[in-house]
Amino acid sequence: MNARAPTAALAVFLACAPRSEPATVLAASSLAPESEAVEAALEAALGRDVAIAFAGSQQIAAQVAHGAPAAAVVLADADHARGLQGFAPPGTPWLCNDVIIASRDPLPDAAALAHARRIVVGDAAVPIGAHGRALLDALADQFGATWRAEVEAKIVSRELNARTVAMRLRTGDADAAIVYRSDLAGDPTLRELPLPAGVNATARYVVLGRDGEEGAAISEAFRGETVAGLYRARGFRACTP
Amino acid sequence: MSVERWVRRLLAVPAALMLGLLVLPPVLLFVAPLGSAEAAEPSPWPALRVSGLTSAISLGFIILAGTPLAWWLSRGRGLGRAVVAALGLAPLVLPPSVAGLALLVTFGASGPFAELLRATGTTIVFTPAAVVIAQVFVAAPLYVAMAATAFARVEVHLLEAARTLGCSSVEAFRRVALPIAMPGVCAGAAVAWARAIGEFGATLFFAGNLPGRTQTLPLAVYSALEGDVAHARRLAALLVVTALVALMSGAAAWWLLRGRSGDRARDGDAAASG
Repeated sequence: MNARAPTAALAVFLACAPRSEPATVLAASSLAPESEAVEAALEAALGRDVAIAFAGSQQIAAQVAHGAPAAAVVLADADHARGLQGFAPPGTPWLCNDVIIASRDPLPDAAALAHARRIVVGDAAVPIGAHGRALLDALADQFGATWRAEVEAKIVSRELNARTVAMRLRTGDADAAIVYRSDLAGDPTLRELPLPAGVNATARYVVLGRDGEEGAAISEAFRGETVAGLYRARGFRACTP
Repeated sequence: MSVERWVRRLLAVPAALMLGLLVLPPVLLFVAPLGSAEAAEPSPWPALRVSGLTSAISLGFIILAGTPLAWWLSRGRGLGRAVVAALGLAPLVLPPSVAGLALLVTFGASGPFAELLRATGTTIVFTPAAVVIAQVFVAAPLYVAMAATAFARVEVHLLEAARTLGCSSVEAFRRVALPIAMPGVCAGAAVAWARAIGEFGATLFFAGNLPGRTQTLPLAVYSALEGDVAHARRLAALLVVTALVALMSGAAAWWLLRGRSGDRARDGDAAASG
C-alpha cells in the first residue's frame, strides 16, 4: 500500500514535466543489441532524450531520402549514404564488422557449407546480402563453380535485414547462415566456420550526423569510447586502414 | 429546406472523401508514367506465379474446409458455437507479423512438432506450403464469417420443407441453402482470395523470401522498393490488377452460379412467404 503513493506521484510528475521531442537516430539493424546502453550514452552527451530505431540500411536510406526526420543515421555501408542530402559527409568508417559463415553444427570449414541442409542469407538489397554474395564469390574462386551451385541450391530464404538472418539461425530453421560476427556474440550454440586465408568480407559502418550542432554531437558521441567500446565488446572492431 | 435533406448531404461528404482515399492511390499507380522495364530488372513472372499458385491452392482449401464450418456456425446458437466463432476470427485481429511469428513458433524448428518433422525429414518453414498455410490463416476467417452470415439468411422452414419432401441434409444444403446464400458465399470467396494474394507479414516471417519459390508479389514489391522505386511501382501495379481479378472472379462466379439455381431459390422464397 505504501509503495503506491510515491509511484503515483512519480507518474504524475513524469506526465506533467515539460517534454521535448526526442532526437531520432536511425541505425543499421545489426547495431540493435546494445540499444539501451547506447541511448543512455547519447542522452548523456546530448542532454536530451534520444530514440534509436533499427532497420535495414537500405530501408533507412530510403526513409531519409523521403524526408524521415533523423538527427543522425548509422549505416552498414557507405554506398547507401550516397546521395543523402542535409548530412555531414561520413568521413572515415566508424567501426567494422566482419562477415562470417555461422552454423549450428560443427562443420569443419567453409567448404563444408555445401553440406549444410538449409542456408539463409540476406537479400541483395541489404548490406549483409551484398557482402554475403561477395564472400561466396570469393569462396567460389577457391572451391569452384559446382560448390557455389550446391550452396545456392541450399539457400532457403533471402531475408530483408541482418537481424532476421541471425534469428533464423537461432530458432533452428536455418542450419547455416552468412551473418555478422557481432550476431554470434555470446551464443554458445553457434559456430563460426574458418575461412581460407585471404578470403574475407567486412561491413564498414559510417555515421552521418545531420548538418548542425545536434548531428555533430551525436556523431561525436558514437565515435567516443563509451559507445564504440560497447560495440567492440560485441564483436565489432576498429577498421584497420 | 428540411433537416433530413441537410443530414443526407452532410453524410455524403465524409463518404465521398473516404471513397476518394480508397480509389485515388491505386489509380495513381497506373496514371503516373510507369516507364518500361530496364533490361537488367528481375522479371515479375516468378513472383506472380508464386502468388497465383499459392493463393489458388489456399482458396481451394478455404472453400472446401470453410463452407461446412460456416454452415455449422450458422445453424445454431449456444456457447460452443460462439467460442468457435470467436477463436476462428482471431487471425483477423492479429497483426500479420504476429500471425507469422505464431505460425513460426508452431511449425518451426523450435516448436511442438519439431521432433515429428525432423523424424520424417520434412520441413514446413521456407516452403511454398508455408506460404499456403500463412495465406489460409489470414484469409479463412474472412470467408467463414461472410459465408456464415450468408447461410444464416436461409430460413429454417425452407430446409425443413426440403427434408419433408425427401431431400437428405446434404441435398437440402446443396439445392436450397447454397443458392440462397450464393451472393454472400461468392463475395466471401473473392475477398478471401484477394486477402490471400495480398498477404505479406505472415508469409515473410513464416515462409521466408526466396525468389521463384516463396517470394510472393507483395514481397517482391517490398524487396524492390528500397532499390528501384520505378520497378517497385510496376510490380505494385501488377499486384493491384491481380487483386482486382480475384475480386471480379467472385462476381463472375456468382453470376454464373445463380443462373442455374437462382430462379428456383427465388421461387421457393416467394412460395414460402406467399
